[in-house]
Amino acid sequence: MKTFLALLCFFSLSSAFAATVKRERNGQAYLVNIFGHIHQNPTKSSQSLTTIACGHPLRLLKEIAVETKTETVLFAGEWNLVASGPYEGYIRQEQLTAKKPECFQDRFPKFFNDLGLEVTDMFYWGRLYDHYEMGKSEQP
Amino acid sequence: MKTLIIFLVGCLFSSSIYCVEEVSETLLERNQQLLDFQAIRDVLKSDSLEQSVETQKVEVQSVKKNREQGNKMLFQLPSDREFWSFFSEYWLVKNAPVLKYDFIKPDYGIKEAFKIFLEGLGIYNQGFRILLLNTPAISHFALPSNPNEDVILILSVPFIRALDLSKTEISLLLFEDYLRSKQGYFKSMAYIPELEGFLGGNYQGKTLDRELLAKLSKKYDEIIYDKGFQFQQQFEITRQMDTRLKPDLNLWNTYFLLNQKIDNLVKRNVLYQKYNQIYPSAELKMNWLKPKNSVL
Repeated sequence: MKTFLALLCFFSLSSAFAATVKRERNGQAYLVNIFGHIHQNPTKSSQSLTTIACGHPLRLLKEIAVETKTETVLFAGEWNLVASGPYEGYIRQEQLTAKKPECFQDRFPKFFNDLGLEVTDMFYWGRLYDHYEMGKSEQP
Repeated sequence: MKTLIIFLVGCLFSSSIYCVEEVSETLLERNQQLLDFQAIRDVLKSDSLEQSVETQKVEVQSVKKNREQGNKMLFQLPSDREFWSFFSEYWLVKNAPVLKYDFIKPDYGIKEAFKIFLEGLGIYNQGFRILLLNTPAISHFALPSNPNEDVILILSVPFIRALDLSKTEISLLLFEDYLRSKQGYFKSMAYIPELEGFLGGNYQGKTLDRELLAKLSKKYDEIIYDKGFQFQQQFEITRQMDTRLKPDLNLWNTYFLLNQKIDNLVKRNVLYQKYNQIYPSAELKMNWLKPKNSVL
């Protein structure tokens, strides 16, 4: 009886939470760096769902609260919710661009292919861009 | 009677044969007339078909030339202006298990501190990429990058922890590396003569010279782990740091004390004994920085 009541409470709560946020398409963007990762959570150390290459098109998504109809902004716009194939995850805004970029792989396709990069190399290259502290000094 | 019938039949045949010869040409003769272009040449000329054939020939030649050019461009190699940032990152990726840059770390605020530091010295619109490493094998370095692109700086977290460096001291260290990068010391030491023909070339019909890239990678290893920089290069950099920091005496003092810290670390910590081999030497730098005593 107790188990039944506990299960009933659990399912009713989960069904209540499931309906609070919905995801909608919010445009398209492309990866700017040689390789990148779509992360499970909006943190640099979060697990990678998939590795993608420069110029890969990504569907931008936005999360909207069903009741209040407000959009969730992730870390002051530093992260974007994206989808690629079956994967939905997070990628840093600085790694995306609205227009398809001129990638190194596209400018020198045979050279890049003939380097014979392994899957591990592609993974580490994507992680390189996750770990870079990128900045630029500005004019006053 | 028989003779009459034969005569009449003969007349009938001869008249019919005569009619066939007069009315029809053979299929062969008709075909031959069609293949006789000379007969229709004037017609073709007046219809400008010869001209359109010529135009089409020129167009086809142009398309063929573009296609061949496009195929050749696929085998293009990056030029000197496009190669170095890529190769530095390639070296980082290939050495990832040794450099250990894929680790969880807090935000040290180095990016903002270095940005403000550069702006304080009047260096604007300079992009940079700082990569923190979780190994004491490399203390700090600036890897070669493309002109007018972000400078690539690598910095060891165990090294900054061992010295207990402040953000200003870290910025000074990175700025020294930035000056070395601008002087092109690493690039000139890593340069191999075979790169001259490689960069900006085209290898259509051949295989990519991967041995050359392996040689270049070994040069990187030599400089970073063994040979480092020369005394003359160190003197030049120290002189530049002295000139740039003198207007701000606090900063100059911090730089002087940083060299003292490094000198103490190198002398007492076995892990960093090779530091003087790569950056000779903190003690010498302090001597170069000290104002000269003159008797008046």
